[in-house]
Amino acid sequence: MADNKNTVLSARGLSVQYAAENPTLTDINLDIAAGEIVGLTGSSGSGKSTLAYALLGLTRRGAQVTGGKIDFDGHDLLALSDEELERVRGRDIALIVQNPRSALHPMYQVGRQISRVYQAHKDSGRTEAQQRAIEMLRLVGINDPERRSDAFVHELSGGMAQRVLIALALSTNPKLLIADEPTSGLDVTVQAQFLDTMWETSRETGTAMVLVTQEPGILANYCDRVIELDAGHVAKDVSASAFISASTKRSTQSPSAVERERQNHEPLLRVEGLRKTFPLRGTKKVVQAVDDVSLSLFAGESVGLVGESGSGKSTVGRCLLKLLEADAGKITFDGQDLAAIGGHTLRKLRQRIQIVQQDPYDSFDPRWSIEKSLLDPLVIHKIASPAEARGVIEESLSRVSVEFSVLSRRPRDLSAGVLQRIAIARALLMKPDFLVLDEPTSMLAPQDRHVILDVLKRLRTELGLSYLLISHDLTSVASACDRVVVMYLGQVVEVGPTVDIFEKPIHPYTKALIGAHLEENPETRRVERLDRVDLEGEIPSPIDLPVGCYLATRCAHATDACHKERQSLSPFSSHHDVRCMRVGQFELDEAS
Amino acid sequence: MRLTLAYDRCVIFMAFALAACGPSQPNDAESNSLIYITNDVPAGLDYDGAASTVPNSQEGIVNLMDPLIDYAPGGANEEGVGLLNFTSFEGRLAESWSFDDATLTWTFNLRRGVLSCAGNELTADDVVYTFARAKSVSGPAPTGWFLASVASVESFDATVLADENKRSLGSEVTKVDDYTVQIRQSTHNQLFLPALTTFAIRIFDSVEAKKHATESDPWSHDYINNVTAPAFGPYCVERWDKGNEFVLRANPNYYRGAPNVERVVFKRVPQSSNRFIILRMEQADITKGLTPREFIKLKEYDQLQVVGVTGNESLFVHMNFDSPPFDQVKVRQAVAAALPYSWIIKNGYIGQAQIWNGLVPSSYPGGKSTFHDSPEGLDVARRKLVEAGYPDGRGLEVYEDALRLSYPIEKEATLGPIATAVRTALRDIGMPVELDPIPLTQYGDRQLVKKDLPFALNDQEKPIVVDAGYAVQLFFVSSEAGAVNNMINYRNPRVDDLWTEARAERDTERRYNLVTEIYQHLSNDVVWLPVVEYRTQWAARQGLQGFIWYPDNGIRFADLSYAQ
Amino acid sequence: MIWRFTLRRLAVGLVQLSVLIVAVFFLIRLLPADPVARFVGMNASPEAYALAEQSLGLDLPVTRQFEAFLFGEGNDGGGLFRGELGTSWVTGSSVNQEIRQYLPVTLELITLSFLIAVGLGVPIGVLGAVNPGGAADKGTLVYGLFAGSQPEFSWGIIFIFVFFVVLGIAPGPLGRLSPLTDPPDFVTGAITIDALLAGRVDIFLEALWYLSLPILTLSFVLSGPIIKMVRENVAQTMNADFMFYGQAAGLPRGVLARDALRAAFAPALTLIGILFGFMIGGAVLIESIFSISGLGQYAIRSILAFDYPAIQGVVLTISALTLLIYLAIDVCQALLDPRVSV
Repeated sequence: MADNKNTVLSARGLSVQYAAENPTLTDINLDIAAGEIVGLTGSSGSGKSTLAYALLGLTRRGAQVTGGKIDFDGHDLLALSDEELERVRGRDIALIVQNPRSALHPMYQVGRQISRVYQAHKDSGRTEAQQRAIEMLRLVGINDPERRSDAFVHELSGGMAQRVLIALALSTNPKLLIADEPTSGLDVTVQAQFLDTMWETSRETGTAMVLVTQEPGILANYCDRVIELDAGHVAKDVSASAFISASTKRSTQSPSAVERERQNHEPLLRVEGLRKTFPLRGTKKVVQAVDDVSLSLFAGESVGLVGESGSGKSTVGRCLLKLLEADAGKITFDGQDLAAIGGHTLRKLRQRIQIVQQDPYDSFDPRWSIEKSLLDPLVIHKIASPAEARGVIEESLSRVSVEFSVLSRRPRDLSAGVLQRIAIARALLMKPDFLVLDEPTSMLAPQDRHVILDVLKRLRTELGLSYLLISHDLTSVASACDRVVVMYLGQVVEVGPTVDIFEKPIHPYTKALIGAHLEENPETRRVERLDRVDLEGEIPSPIDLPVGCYLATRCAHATDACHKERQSLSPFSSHHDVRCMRVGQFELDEAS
Repeated sequence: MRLTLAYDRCVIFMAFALAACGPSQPNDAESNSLIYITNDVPAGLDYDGAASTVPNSQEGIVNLMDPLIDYAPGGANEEGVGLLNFTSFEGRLAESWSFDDATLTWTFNLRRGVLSCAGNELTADDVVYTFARAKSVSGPAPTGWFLASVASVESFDATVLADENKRSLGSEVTKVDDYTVQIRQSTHNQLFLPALTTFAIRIFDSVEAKKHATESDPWSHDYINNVTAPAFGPYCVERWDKGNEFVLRANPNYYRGAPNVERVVFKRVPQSSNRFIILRMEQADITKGLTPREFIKLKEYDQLQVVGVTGNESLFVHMNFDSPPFDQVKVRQAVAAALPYSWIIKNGYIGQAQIWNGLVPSSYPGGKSTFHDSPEGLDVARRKLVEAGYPDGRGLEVYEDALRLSYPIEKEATLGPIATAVRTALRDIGMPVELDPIPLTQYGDRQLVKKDLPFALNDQEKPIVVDAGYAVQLFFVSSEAGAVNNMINYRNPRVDDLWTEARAERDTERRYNLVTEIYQHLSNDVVWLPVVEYRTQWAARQGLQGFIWYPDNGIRFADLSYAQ
Repeated sequence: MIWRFTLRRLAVGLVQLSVLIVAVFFLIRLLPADPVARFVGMNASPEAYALAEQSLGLDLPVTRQFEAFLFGEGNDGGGLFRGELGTSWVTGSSVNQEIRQYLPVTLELITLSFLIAVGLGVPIGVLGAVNPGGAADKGTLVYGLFAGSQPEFSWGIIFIFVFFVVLGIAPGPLGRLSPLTDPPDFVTGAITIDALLAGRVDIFLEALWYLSLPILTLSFVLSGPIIKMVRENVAQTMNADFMFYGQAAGLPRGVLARDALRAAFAPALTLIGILFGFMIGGAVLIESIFSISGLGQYAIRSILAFDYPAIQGVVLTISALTLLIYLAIDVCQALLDPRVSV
């Protein structure tokens, strides 16, 4: 428990219930001290969001507070009238929600939305409030805040909208800030920037924070304390380091240092000079999705393809399976040029490359039973006779550690984690040589991710399966891949063994990316690291790409030549390529 | 939210306040105005124009324009409605007239000091202008020419229509001096004087009319159709809001004395039930065109009166000789025998009709027509069918298309039930009759132009010239012999010959007998099947008097006054 | 941006109208009835028929007729390209003039009705959404079940009977003014406006009084869908994330209500615009019952009489107006909602 003298908020016996259902929250007790950052976690359905809102005295439609009290600033919030509560909310307690773009009114300019909250609570004039809004936008790191304050929500990116929410929340200098999964859906680097801003502001203004999240990385790196909910009760209320240490050992094995023996020197899959653009409707412009990507994958190898949104990694995956027609480039699989073959040969070849997609519920026909979904490819491709089918299916399922009882169920009856493993099982039915997994874990809860990765690693060992893991989650890639390819704005900026990339990243972007990766280690918190390489500004638009290095506008080491010359991917050391002409010169910058 | 409630209350309060302080009901006795509500106000005032065939427009014309002569008064009926003596004429714009047998020339002596609404005096120039305009046939429906041709005014014949060069007035109408004019006929024709009384050769104020002539419109059709008909009648147009209101103001210089009713407001109220309640609530003074039931109901109110006559409104069944089986007289006689006349009178007209015993309105002079003087009834009808060769209607199935009874769909309310009763009766004797209501314009087209309407109910024929012979000329001689509206394609050479003789017959009595003989043939052949003559009625405030019935069924407001 | 959008839509609208007028012109000439028949009631001889046909221009081949319609005949001006719609075959008046006379009558009637329907309907709808189960909500449910489901002419007749005949507090169905009152000089054609322009407040009040029953009937019926739509949209909007967030930010109730209304208004605005466009022709029943000579009555008269120029004129007018209204709705939407890109 925190220091009573400095307690900002204190809840006792708080219970919330949705009509006619089991109570969502039962008898919650917690204290929040001034300036403290408390992480609120729990599996989905444990009541985290409900608790977060209840601390404001708010419930979603259909729910009611059935008991308890919340001491804040000398009053019991639950006993206050609506008008009095209005005064507390937004002024002394502020809220940041998960989806910023739907939280802001679509028809008012964002600056106005900030200023009117300020006006409502601080009894100030219009001009003063507008000034405050611009000031707050600047504070949260938005460039050109005067202009941005006139923008509407739909004109802003997700990251920027989230920052507007922080600006709004903090404009009145609240004593307590409640943030409900504020970074879900944000890119790694953006997430890092965002959380950094919040943390710094909290330290500066002394605002206490309740941070609702499922990501252990966030809990480890930013929170002082962690409260874990389980089915509406407080299961744990400990310090962050205690929480992290106590949680079940995740399989955060260090990346495999074993350099696999290449079976043969011909790559199983070779991509050369892949290029893909998408035309913009109504204009002559194009979106540059993939720009001169080349990579090779050898049999038995697992490669991770990482990047943030707009990096082009998903597009590469689709082109590999010829789900998309590339504009240029050559894809060779097992010696055969995919562009040159067609018809029957292509179909046979397709069987040897399989894909597992991001949303398992989208990958299965909701009307079919699992058995039917698995039987279908067997029958169509004549891999097994009807008599053998059952056996084959069961073998596949056991490989992915799924019980046979799922066969009679429908997709909606199963959890995402299980369903995603069944998707892998279905892919395995084809006995593929090569598996492409496009963000297989992004829709899963953190604890489920590890199971999938374990399955993949096992399959690699047992079957010699090669796979390409496309993901923005660096943890997954670190765990399950031998090699990592880092992409930024359609280009490969660095390629190398996993260990090297994670421990000694070279390219400034890779450095920032790895730096933004939140490890679940409270000993090495990001906020305490001094050697951070941060990127400034925003990612440029993929429509109007600069001539030179794409990172030049954001890189601290950029020179004139960087802006003007096109960068090429060149070897740095064995099996390690970097696309940057100033490699090796960064220390000089720091020195001067 | 409180704000919106208060706002709502405000609006409701204002609405009531407005209602409470609204202006009072129209009170016309003080202003000596008369409010006349009808189903439509005049659409045009040009008897050569598009609206000339519409009774509402004719009613406007007759209150603005006076004829040379008109019928003399002929007493009143039991309800006090004045009747006309259709065998005797009296002068209007003309003071006296004479006829020269040898030259077939009529000489008219015009009244002096007759002033129009514009203040111009009537002269022979106006009469000449009127006939010249009629002969120019410059409007879409040249009724003026038509009536003049019916009257056998010299050179007003079909060639005028066909040939552009025949359209200027010759010596058939000449000005002798300022107040004397002569009109020459091409042959003896007793329809001359009756034709002059109609709405269609009334005299224009040529001075005023010419002021509004343009190069492309030398006869001022546009002015007359949209502003007023400049003439020598009892009223002038004060305001004309087409499709809405038509306001007449008395002509103070009217030669028969300024009318008692200073101002007449025609207001369009298209629904008869609305006319009913407006009159009942005394917010108007006169109306017409209500349903029989509504008229009966209004009689119950002491402050209202309902008066009427049996004039020239009638219903008959039209059967086309060119559509078998109606080419067989026996079939036509079977239909005649089968109709439920009493039912139609009682239920279709709520008793406000009588059976029509002739083929021409009973009030019309010039010849006697009889019908329904042989036995009737369903048995008789069945026998006739047997005689025709269709016992119980067997064999009539092939004539399904011809046995579709048509009527204008706009008159569904009044004619619908009657048509149904007819259908039932005919089905009873075995004729497979179906109903076929069609739009009025299509009805008119098929009946008059294409002449292929096989079987229909017709209640809109009111011969404009009050003469039994005129009806023959219009409807019953063959088209080859000059009938312009022979819709049933009747061709009887004997009738044609008789009419050619009668038409030019100078002796009134002999003409009468010839026409009577014609009608006997017509009745035998059941050229039309007359059903009922029904009452022409008006409902008005008690105390309004002076109603006189005219064959165009229009009210002359100059006749009316309030009893003191 | 808005200007370019507007201009583009107007251009498209012109194309649409052109196609429409060509279609109407040729299609009505395919109808089975012959308009000439109206003129030959007195005398249906072939010569009279030929003359009547000629005066209507129907003796010319259809393409020549169309040419005359577009360019006028001879050198007396006229023709669609000079803005002339022709001459009515029923009255002989110019169709332009008749439309100019009848259209403002209808517009006045429906505009006043809409003002009331919206003015009352929107607050009631909002009330119903904000207090579900409250008085406003229950009231509108009853209204919707009972009143809003009946056609407007039955309500018109009921109102006349109750207020005029039985209670005697409303004027008879005699149109927009008492038959004895001279209307004000024609400026716009709307009696209320013209009376005010002429400084005659007494005529203005009298017109409002005579129009009170027809407006009551129309707004009674129109407010049904408006209330329902506003209520549904506001209720839905109130569940939106930004409303919840606004509450969390402690914004006062009034501000939140305005927020909800602003976001919810777009679909209601579309509905109102579409209803208005429909009512230009759709008010014909009210016009007939209350003896108001509006565009609907004119259209019916023309259609029944096969008055081709009038029919063409009415179709063109109503279509043009409807297109303009839809354009206005879209522009309003774009102005109100920054997400709509034009």
